[in-house]
Order: sequence, then C-alpha cells, then structure tokens
Amino acid sequence: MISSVLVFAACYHGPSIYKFEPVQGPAGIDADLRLRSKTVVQGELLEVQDSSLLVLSDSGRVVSVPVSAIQRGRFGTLGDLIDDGVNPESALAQLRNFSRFPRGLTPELRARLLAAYGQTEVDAAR
Amino acid sequence: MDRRVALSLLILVSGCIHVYQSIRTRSLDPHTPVSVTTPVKAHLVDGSTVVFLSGVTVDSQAVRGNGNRYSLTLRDSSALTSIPLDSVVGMESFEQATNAASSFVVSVLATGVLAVGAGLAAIAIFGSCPTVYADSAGTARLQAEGFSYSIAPIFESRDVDRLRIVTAADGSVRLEVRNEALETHYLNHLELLAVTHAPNETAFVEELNRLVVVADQRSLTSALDRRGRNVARTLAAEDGHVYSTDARTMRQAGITDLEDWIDLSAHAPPGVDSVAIVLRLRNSLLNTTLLYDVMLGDPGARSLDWVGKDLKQVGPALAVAQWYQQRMGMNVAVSDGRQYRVVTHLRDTGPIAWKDVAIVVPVVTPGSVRVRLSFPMDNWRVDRVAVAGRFRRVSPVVIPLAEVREGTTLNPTALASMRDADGRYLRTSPGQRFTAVFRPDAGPAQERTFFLAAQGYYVEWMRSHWLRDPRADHVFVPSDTALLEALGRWRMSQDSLEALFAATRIPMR
Repeated sequence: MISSVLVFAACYHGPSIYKFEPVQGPAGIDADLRLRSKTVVQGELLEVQDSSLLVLSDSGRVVSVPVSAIQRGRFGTLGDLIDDGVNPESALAQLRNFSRFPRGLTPELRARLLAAYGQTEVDAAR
Repeated sequence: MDRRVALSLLILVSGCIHVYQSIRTRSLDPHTPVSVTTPVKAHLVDGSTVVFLSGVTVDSQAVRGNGNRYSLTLRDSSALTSIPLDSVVGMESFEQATNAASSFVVSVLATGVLAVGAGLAAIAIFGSCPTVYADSAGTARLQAEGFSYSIAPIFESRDVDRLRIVTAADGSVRLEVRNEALETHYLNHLELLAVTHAPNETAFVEELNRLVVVADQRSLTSALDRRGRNVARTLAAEDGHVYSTDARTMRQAGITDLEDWIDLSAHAPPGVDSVAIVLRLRNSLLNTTLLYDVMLGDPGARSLDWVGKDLKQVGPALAVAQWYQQRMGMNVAVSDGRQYRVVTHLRDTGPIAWKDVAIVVPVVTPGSVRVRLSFPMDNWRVDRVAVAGRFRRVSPVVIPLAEVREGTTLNPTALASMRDADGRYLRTSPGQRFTAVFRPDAGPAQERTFFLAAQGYYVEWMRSHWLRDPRADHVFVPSDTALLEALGRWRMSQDSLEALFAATRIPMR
C-alpha cells in the first residue's frame, strides 16, 4: 500500500509547567555549581541572595556559595545560567523564582532550617 | 528494501517549527480575590510550602484548592483544601509562555555597528543569513551560509555545511563569520564536525543534516530537463557551467504550472539496494525575490507586525512553513518503471554559497536508477550531479567552539553564547564579523573532512522603499499566486538583480 505521510513537527524547547520539577513540587531547582577553586557543589537551590546562593547539598549540608566564585552554574533543565565572564544579574532574577524560598528566609526560619540539618551555621563554599 | 513492495510515499520534512517555551512566574496577592487554573505555590509563615497543581481560588478568608503542604524540610507532607490567608507570606502562579523574549539572553559584539547610508539601505538586497569564510592563501574564501531562510525566531534551524579548508599551522580551524546584509543575525550555536575517511572517499551532508561518506562516484548516463534538453554535460563536472531553467519553460509558467524538473539516469552497481546522488548546487535569487518583494516588501509596514507578532504564533508560522516546505526546495523522486514517487525533499540552501550534498535513493530496478529532481522553475543553480555506488553513514567527531575573536581580542561572552544550542544568542548587526576558532585533535593518517553546524535565525531589516510604497493591503498569504508573482518579477529582472545582489554586500568594519 502506498501511503502518503506528511510529517511536520513542532520542536519544543524549554521547560513545561507539567514536567518542570520546581513547579510540580515544593523543592527548589537542582543546582550543579562548578567553582573556580575546582570545588563542586550540587544540590537543591534554597535561596537566591544578592551575591550568593544558598544550596542544600546532596550530602545534606546547607551551603552558601558566592556567585563570584562560580565558574559554571547549571540548573536543572534550564541549563547553564551562570557562566564565567557573563553578568549573572538576569540569571539570578530567574533562579529566584525557582528556589525553594523565593521570598527568602527570615532569620528564624534560617535557624530552624539549619538546626534540622544539624548545623548552627551555614557552610561556606570557596 | 524489498523491491516487490510498492514504495511508500513519505515526504519527510527536514525542518521543524521551533517553539521556545519558558515558564512565567506571577506573584499573587493573597488579599485580592482571584481564580487561577495553573499551578500555584504558597509560602507560609512557618516555612512550609503548599503546592496547588490545579490552581486556587482566593477569597477574603482563605486560599482554596486541592493542595499538598510540605514542612520546612520537605520531610512531611499532607493534603489540604484551604489555608487561611493570615498564614500566607506569599504566592506565585506559573504559566507557560512561548517564544518569550525573557527566555533569551543575547550578547553582542564589541565592534561598532556600521552606519548604513540611507541610499544603500534603500536599495540593498544582499541578504540571507551569516556568511562563513576561511582563509585560503591569504584570500577569504566563502565556505557556507548558515540557516538560510530562518527569517524569524520560530523558524530557527540548524544547517550543516561541508567545508573546503585546511587547518592552520597550529592545527586550529578558523572561520570568519560575517553579517554582510541588512539583517540582524541571532547565532545560537556553532560547532565543527569532523569525519575521517579513506582517500578515495568523499564526505557529504545529507538532506536531514546527517553525514555520509561515498565512494565510486560516476557520471550520469542521461540527464534531460523538462523540455527534453540533454543537460548531462552541464552537470558532469564542477566547472561553473550550471543548470538553470530554460527561458521558454519559464515563459509558460502559470498558476497550475510552476514546476521544472530534471530526469536523471545512472548505472547502479550489482547487488546494491541504494545509491547516493551527489549534488553541488545553490538557490537562484527567485527565493530572494519571493522573500524581499512579495513576502516583506509588498505589504509594507504590515510586514513589521507579521514578522514581529504573527510569526511568533505557531498557527500562522506553521501555515507559512508548511506551504514553503511543500512548494519550495527540491523533491527527489525515484521511478519504479511506471511513475516517479517522491522519496525525500531537499530544503532551500541559500543563493550565496555552493552546497555539496548527497541524497540516498533506493534502487528499484536492478542495475540502474532513474531519479527526477523537481522544483519551482528556476529555483536552483545546479553545477554537478553524480551517482555514488557505495556509501556509508557516519557519526562525526564533534569539536566544540573554542574561541571567539574580534580581530585579536577574545570575546568570552560571545563564546558562551554560541557554545550550546540553548537560550543564549550572539546578535550581530550589518558590517560586524568575528572569528570562530575550533581546536580539533591532531589529524589521523587518513583524510579528514570538516563540516560547520550553525544554528540560529535572522531578522530582515525593512527597507525604506518597502515602507513608502506598499503594493498590497494585507500581509503575506502563502499561495501559488505569490510564487507565480515572484517568478514573474524574477524572470523580468534576473540579470540586473544578480548584479545588484552582489554589489550591495555590506562592507565589513
């Protein structure tokens, strides 16, 4: 049988609200941060501060990472949003929406969060 | 392939409509009554988070909907249907946005933009996407033109072009990418592909951007155009003697008769079920006439909205793309002895750089193959056609972009913009250029052929005379009437248009 098929695809790029985890659940977006010091910090993005990111690392520690120390930052399916030499301002504004606490942590909530993970202070990544 | 089975007619569309979607976040004021049907997150005073996947209704007392509440550490969760307003710190809703400008990050070159004189701008017709050059003994030699006819973001596409280059003394591959037109180019991704093969083999790109290596290329035994002209000698060698549609054929063009074709015959080696048709070709300026005069020029200022708004919607963009895909380009059909059946389609490649492609077709009759190349009249200039009895598809080595230079100055932001096919672009304006540097590993003993893969789109600048003298009172409607109009104008102005096209290249800064 001769069949005639016209195939035309719409190729979708970018996240869908029906699949994007920070929309579908309470957690913040996955963060994979490669620092200039060769340190790697991977985990959930908790909070975006003015010049640093607060991350719950895969090892269960709450870590603060200065944005200036990041050589490359990959975030879930959004891709590389922080890159060496590229102004991170727009990236931080976008990431804030997909952090676990987009409105930030009050001092009280921060203390409770740290206590829940066995910490009295935030670890500092370098 | 089983030759007893009738060929299935499959028209594969090699491009696609690119829909860039992003997620738009909107803060919801908990004190304003509202009903939202998209996902909502509420953040509570105690640090917990409530996710409402189906949306919420907010009234004076509470936020209501089917939700799940997660504790501060996300370790505990429970279902709920409402939360009192005084426990809510803030809420946001998430909506899907398509082709949203906010999803793109654009970087620019440091080189100043050329000031284009009004006179030049008024007449400039040179166009069609970034041009790529490589140094050849001190002369810049044109290698490729990228993503031709990707005239709007939704038409962003990836082109793969064969390069005829040698590596520099340090082993690098350096390509100069220019914006020589009155266009704004948005380059998303550049990468180099390398294929290793034997000296008696040649590497090509197929119509779907896959790479293939062929051997045993032979001339055609016969090549007849629609009028029965024997054009085999014209197509025998890469010599600048090119095929174009006979003027008498073009004179008889009508709304129901817009096609030209070339019927090819060649030997097929015994025992093979497919051969590769090798072509060296480029488009004529018919397409440029269609784009500049009919699609953009005739509607005048209406084209600004057409490109800026209409073509950002999937529906209108799909209508244009489907018409273009079906009408333009080149169909490749194989004869089964009784009739020709289309087996694949080659997209338009652009009017500037010659393109070397190979198209695999089935051998239906043992020992020979008969192929028809059909296309809108005079849409192509074909320099050479041959048939390769042996071929194999290959996976290339991918060589990422290593440096972007403006002159001697490195531009790391431009490099970051074009290193991946993502939401970051390098934008170039008329007269700007940069050097893309790739560093392949040291070459093997065998032959190596390089291909440039370029992805992006461009936006045509509206010419002042288009805005002043529109000829239509509506935006472009994809139809054979439009193509016939373009063909008529092209036929009457070919010679002068070709000279003007070459003369109105924007000079480099």
